[in-house]
Amino acid sequence: MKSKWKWSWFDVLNAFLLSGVVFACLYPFVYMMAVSLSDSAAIASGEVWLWPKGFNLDMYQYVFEDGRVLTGYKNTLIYVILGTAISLLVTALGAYSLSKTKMVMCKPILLLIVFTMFFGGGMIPTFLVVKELGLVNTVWGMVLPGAVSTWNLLIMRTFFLGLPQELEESGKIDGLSEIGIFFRIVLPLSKPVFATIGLYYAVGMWNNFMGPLLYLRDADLQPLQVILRNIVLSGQFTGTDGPIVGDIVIVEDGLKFATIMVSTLPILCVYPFIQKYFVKGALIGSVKG
Amino acid sequence: MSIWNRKLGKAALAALLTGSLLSGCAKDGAGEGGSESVDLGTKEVTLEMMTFSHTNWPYKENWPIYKFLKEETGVSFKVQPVMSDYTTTMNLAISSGEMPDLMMVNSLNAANTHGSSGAFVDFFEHLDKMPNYKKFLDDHSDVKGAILSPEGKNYFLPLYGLEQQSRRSWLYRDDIFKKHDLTPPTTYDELYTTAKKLKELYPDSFPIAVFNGLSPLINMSPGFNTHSSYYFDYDTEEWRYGPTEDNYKVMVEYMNKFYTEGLVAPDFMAHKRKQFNDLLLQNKAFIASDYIGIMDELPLVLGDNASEFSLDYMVPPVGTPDGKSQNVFAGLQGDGFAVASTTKDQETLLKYLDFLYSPEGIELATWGKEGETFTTENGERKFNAEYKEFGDLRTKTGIATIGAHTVLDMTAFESMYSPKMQEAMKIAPDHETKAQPRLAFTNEENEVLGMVGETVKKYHEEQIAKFILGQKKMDEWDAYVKEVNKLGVQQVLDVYKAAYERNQSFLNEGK
Amino acid sequence: MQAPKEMSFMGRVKRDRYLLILLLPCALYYLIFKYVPIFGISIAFMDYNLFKGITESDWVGFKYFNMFFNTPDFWPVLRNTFLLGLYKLIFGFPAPIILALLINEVSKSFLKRFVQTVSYLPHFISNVVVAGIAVMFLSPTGGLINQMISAVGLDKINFLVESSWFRTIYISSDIWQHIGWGTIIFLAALTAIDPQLYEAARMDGANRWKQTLNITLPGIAPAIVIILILDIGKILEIGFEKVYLLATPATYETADIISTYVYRVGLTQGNYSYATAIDLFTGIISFIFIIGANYISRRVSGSSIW
Repeated sequence: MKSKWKWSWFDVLNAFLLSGVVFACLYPFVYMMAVSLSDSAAIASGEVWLWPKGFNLDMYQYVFEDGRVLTGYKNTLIYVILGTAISLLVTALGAYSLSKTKMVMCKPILLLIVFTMFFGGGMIPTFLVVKELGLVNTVWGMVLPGAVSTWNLLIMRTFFLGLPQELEESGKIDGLSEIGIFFRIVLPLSKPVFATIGLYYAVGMWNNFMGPLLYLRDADLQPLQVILRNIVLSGQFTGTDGPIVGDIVIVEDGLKFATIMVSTLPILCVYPFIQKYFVKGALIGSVKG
Repeated sequence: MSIWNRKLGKAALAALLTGSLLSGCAKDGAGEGGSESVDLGTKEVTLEMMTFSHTNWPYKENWPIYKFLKEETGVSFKVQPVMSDYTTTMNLAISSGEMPDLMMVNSLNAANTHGSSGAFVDFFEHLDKMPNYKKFLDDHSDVKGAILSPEGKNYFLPLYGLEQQSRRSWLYRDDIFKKHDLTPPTTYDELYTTAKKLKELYPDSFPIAVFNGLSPLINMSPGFNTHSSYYFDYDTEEWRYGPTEDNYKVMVEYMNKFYTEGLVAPDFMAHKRKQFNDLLLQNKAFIASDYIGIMDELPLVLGDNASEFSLDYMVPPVGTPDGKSQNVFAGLQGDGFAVASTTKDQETLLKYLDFLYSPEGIELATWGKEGETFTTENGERKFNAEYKEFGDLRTKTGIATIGAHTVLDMTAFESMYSPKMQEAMKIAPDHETKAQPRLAFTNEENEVLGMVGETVKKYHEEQIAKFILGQKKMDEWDAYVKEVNKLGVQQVLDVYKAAYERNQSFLNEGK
Repeated sequence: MQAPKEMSFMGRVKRDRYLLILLLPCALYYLIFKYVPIFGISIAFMDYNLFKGITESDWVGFKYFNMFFNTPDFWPVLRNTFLLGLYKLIFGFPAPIILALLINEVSKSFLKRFVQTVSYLPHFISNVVVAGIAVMFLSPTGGLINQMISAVGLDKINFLVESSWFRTIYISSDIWQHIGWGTIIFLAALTAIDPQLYEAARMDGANRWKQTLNITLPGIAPAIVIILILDIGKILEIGFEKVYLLATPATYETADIISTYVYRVGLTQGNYSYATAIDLFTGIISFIFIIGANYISRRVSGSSIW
């Protein structure tokens, strides 16, 4: 198809711009990787720029020696899988019904939902509700209080709004209810948006440390982010009116960056699987087919 | 809405605590004996405690120190260790009505706020049951002045000892100084000329390492006989505001000179500890103002190359004729114990805490147990050799971790410092300011401090930063003084004065 | 179907029963986790005491609002927040769209995926580390940016202590962090465009620029509009952490925003009432913004949130 493809001035410019983006986004990671694999003396003397100096895995060993990290991985995995599934389902169902603008009460409900983006009870009242529901210190405390993101809901709704009406009409003719239409027709057609919003939820859950901080007490329930944060965080517990107790520790960059690698690499690997849904014309193709 | 009814929460709490409640009831009469023999060992109670857990010595359930304490007192704890965002966790516990029996609070102010609303026990009401604590306060009147509430009550059990190793100090690269035959400066003029010389020798360097906004000025101010904020002048016995004083201006002028001539890093205000460390470790800075412990800690980063790097204590330089060769000593730690008013076993808990203030308790909290953590040879105690340094001791035993003591005998740990550090710790106390009074403020006063105080502080910091960076000329100083006064310096000073006088009257009452 | 207006409310409920069932879990979520705790807003009107709780704390009316309006910091802080948010919108909003379009023009599938994957890496770097990287790159001594500046023969700039540079630094770092992440949604939107449209355009001799203008952009317009409206609603909503990490006393003039003010005066002092009052105030303004944006968009583009 692109057999006659030639380099135009635009392609050159584009290649230049994107190379810039790639460099800017990749370099810090390469740097952090190099530092995390170097020995502390080399880091301290500022010799590490691109490649590890004095290669060693000490920092990673230190991170994984802490048995909690493996528990953290396990917990995070559970939260991400369960949380993404629930969030995606609830959001998609809600977004789909709200995309039917003729639905009774549609506008007021949307307004009420947007309202919550700007007005909320705040941390303590929300905590009290979660506590009264008995969710504190359970998996559900991680999964439910943030299950729906209004932003994601509205984006999904926009996508559903863009689906061709004829499709659903044909579903109705075939005798399907809206529930049937959603699962049989809409869902298979919306893979890209499901992939995107699913990724947003998964990453949100992966990075979530406020939730566990508020709702989880049990050490065995803590997700990876909290554990890594605790490893890296230096003694910043004291209040404002006291001296910093001589417990300030020098957290080495190597350790800090090793934890970043340990915590981000797995979730980065998810992206290529998402990408395969970003095929242009996928929607139309399947409509036609 | 039932959700808003905190009574419900308390009912739940009661149900939750039934276990410990039963065990508590069974032995009401126990431990009533003589107060000197702190034998609580006849009954065993498990209580809940919330405390900080430090990254480097994270709480472990099997720490021997808690085992020793249990053997001695019968009290053991189900600990909720909190590693980060302590204030949030604490506030949630208080607002949910499910407070742990014993908790660490991270400021006197927090203890007083929650104490006066009924969350915490007032220890002064129970001094009869806490003879050791009472004696400790009588022996340490300065501590007593730093733990009161604005009503003269006491919701905050102070920690005593660890603050000694959080000393701020000036440090210098003694190896580099020796190499170039330089002597550590004792005045700011000497500091300037020495730094100049170092800059000539190492053109890429910024000989004086300071970092983090204006915080370097805090420790410089005694050398100019002033202070970086509101302070009590012990000589004249009056409250003053440092940043508008002429001496403060002299200090700012020095900083401006250091900045202009490249003797401090041009972006030192944006530097965090990392950049500060890098400067020192990469031979780009040779004089530093920080806390004393980095003397031993920084070389560790260098690993095998540590032999080429040496920091030593430097006597604080003096800037004005009335300046003092002193570092700022901040006084007691911010943290202290509070006992929840909802605890079901207040009696036992108070006894336990009182034990920690007794000579036996201090000894136990400091040394652990003979044969297990230390041995005695020729009447002299020694920690087991397996504990290489102070941090190691804490990690392995829990000794001197927050939550496991109230008072520590810091002399016990001296042997764990490097010889250089031991030497420095001997001189350091002679070059330190007297700690500023720690005051308790009423809610109204706190509001003034929050509103007016923060506005003043922001303006002052912004202007001083501009003076130092040369973004503002020194001849605009008077205009700055006028403006900052207009924002309400006097109002804040009045609050300090009132709080101080109230504090004094409570202390005198007690006598 | 033909005469919905004559239908009674209950009739419509009955008609839409299946849709309503689909909506139910979502509605319950908002009810339980958003609307039940919303009574917490009352904290703004009382001297909230953690231990006493909402039922027993004293009411103080608009005291905390007045306090905020009367502090000399009010206008500077509001202005700084608004300007920072506005610039963030102006520069930060189009950036991912442009990147998505550029990536879309890459014809080699492998390269396309590579650029995409790499560009979203920075999203995973925490603000603390981002600030550290900024200090490193912007350092007037040896920082990469200043090395480039002096290589061109210009004077080095002490970026982090010049208040005039703060917004530029904040916004560039923000774009860097989130540009790749933001493109994902547009790449998803691009999949919905019918490839036949491009073929038809090519037959008509439209070049790539024309195709982008006439097919690609209209194709992703609904997504663009919605995100724009949502972003307008978030103008005042700037997290405190990164600002706090990048600011120095010398840059307070531009760097002190509402969230840093709340942190300083409200939260570190444990004053939840004051923090809630300020939150409520910005919430009202933001709500007005989004309603306005939605209204204008409905008029102009036809698409809107509600």
